[in-house]
Amino acid sequence: MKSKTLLLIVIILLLTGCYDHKELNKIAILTATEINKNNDEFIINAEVVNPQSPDKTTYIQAPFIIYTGKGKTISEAYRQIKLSSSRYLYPDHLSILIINEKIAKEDITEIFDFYLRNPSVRTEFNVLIGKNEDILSLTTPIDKLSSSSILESIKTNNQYQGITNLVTLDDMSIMYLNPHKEIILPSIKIENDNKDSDNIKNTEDTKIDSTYKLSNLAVFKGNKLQGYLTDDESITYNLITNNVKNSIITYECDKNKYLTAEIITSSSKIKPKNNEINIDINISTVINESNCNIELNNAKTIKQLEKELSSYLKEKTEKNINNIRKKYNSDIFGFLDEIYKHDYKTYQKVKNNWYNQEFKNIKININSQINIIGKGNIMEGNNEKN
Amino acid sequence: MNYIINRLKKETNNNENIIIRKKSILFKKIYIIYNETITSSDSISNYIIRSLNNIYIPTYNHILDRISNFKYKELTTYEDISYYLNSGFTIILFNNNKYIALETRKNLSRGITTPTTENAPRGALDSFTENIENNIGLIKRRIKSNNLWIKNYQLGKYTKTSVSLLYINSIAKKEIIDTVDKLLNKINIDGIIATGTIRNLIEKENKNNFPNTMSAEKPYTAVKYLLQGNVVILADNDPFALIMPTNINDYFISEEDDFNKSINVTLTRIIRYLTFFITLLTPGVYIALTTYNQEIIPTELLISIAAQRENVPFSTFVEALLMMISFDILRESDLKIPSFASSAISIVGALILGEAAVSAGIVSPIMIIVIAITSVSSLTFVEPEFINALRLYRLLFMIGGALFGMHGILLVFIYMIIKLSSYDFLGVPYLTPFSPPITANLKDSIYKAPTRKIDRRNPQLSNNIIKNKTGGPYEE
Repeated sequence: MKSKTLLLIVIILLLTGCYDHKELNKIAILTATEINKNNDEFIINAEVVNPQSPDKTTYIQAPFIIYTGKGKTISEAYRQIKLSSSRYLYPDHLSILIINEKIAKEDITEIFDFYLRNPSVRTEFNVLIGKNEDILSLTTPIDKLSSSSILESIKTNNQYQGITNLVTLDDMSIMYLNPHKEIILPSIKIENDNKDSDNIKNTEDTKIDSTYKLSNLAVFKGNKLQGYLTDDESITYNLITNNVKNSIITYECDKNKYLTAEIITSSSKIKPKNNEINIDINISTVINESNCNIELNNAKTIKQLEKELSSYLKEKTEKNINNIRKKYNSDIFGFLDEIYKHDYKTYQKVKNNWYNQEFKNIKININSQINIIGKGNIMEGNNEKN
Repeated sequence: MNYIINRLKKETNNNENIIIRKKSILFKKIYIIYNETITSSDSISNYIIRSLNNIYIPTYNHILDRISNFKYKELTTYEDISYYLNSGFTIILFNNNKYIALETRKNLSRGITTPTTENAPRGALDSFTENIENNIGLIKRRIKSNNLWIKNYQLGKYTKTSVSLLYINSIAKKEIIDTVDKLLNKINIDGIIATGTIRNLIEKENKNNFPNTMSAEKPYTAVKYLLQGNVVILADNDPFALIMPTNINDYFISEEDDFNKSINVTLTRIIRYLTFFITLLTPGVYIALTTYNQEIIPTELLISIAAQRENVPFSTFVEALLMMISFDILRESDLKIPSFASSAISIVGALILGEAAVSAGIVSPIMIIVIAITSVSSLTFVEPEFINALRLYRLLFMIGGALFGMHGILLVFIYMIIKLSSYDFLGVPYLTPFSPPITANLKDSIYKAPTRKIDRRNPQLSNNIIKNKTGGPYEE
């Protein structure tokens, strides 16, 4: 009996073990993919890491390789890559997917299916809109992999400036599947694309010729790309959707004199009520830079400044929201979603002609509250010398 | 009398070491028999011969009365004579059925020296020797109480080794003592040379490969466990006391924990428990992660590991196995080799197995790190048996990781926990302070409570569980 059990265990181990065994030097780690379309064919640029042992510095290879594949579907294009690669393309470390503008303008849902259906792909990678072609082959300094360089700069920007936004495929599909919301994606472009941009030479100079640059948020309506927000509008979008970790407000306090306040914490809430939408924005700031003649050690002037800043922010936000409504007529903020959640009666009234009429005309009240919690090390403003 | 001498001569094949000397006291013949290899001729001539020379009345009682030897035994049978002769006694054959054995043992044991296997930077520096009486004395020196009870046994058909079972009567549980007593009486074997043999004879040896007894070279350790209710077994000619029953937590406790501040000890204990898991899991988890679950490793780290593995021809499992085996060979040879040659071993180990193996492209540098941390972690335990037990499970974890990835690691872990928690020895479950949870002992496990707060004994070991009634601390 005992030996039979033992035999069974051994057989189980031998029959079922090792089924997805893959040694590290038998796989090609796919870190980023760029999808383009040409004449109804998908063109895929796959960035694969070229691991180099640190002690072999005598000849330098590029830190990554771009494989290109074509096909009528994305999986066909991926399979084609395997013709030219010696190793199995390992997709679990995919961190960036760049979708070319062209596809986005036609129909972005085409790329959804492959990535959501395939169980071996994690859906936590970030999605970007590429304004140029061939972005991934750019060599970048410091972060050797262009994918990790891009990813890190999106993260940093989102944290310190608030112009872009991190959107994973999961987020994107949630935005798409939600009937009351529209997709918004960060975008990227290459500046000064030249012959050397995909060569290691590109990183040898101190002034690097061609670099990528994070561009503004791309606005979708349905499955089509409508256009891009401006910097200001991007910050407004992120402020309203609670995506800002840290950003700045620059305020003209005097003629040609500016004051910069750094946003430390911000929270906003959209409250639909009686055919109106109220947006509360609460921000805590620290004065970063002040070239105005304001006595910052006086509580009264601080109160005054807070009021001015609040009304400035309110004005700006209103302007930006109205601009977005006019230009794209796309509910990226999810106003309809909030109405659906909190005010179902109104929802039933407005849902049928939301984009035709209601979205453009609905009244939006902004209630902004800025608190100055720090003034920095210098008390007074930039006084003229007596 | 002649019958005895003839039988002795016959049984020992006229062994020349057995000296039989005739002497007469007032025409009365007596025989003095001793074995010169284990007796001290000094004491024979000083005490026995000299006192016999001064005895003029040849009666048994008179001799007993006048002989200046302190330790003596009155014997009646041949078997007794044979045993005491072989233990270094001198036998005086007076007349039929009346024999005296006088202790004239030669001092064949070394003196009390510092311990060689247990390193205690602060503790007492005496250690057990090969002489059981000395060893009992070393314990008795520390427990000056009549409650230290000792049961003596003679085990081994040929060796007739004296074995002693020590316990503190008022603390130790009667059931445990009775069981051990019964088991010891059942032993029937050619010879017992070490206490470890006794342990293997009284339990199912391979039911669990983790040790359930502890060998102690220091009387300190033995006394400490006696005070907790454990029993200690001493065997003649073995400088290691056997403490039983122990649980897994006992192997994480070291001597200086008793007199260091509990908060510092807690931090050390955390490190020790950490090393336990590191040494068990690191190679297995590394294999599982790099051959199955690469998605768990952060991309940058994965690229770095991949770069190091680029030129290695073996699979990760084989690579790990190679390094594990070579480390074990090194450790084994280091234990066996005399200390003057150990520098050669360390050069071979460091240079060839580390540096050269990497540059030859046989193993990756990260594997060296994995094996190094694994093996260094395993050396934080004192008990060699425990380290070897960890090695077996480490191998199982490696196989599990190589067959099923992280899933396999989990399976082996479950197997290990089931195995350990279902095992008990002398009524003490192996995972005792943790499962079943025993509050009294949990205070001295990963977390060590201040000594004043540890006021209970383990109820599995002792019926008399209150041990500490110290009053409040000194306060200004």
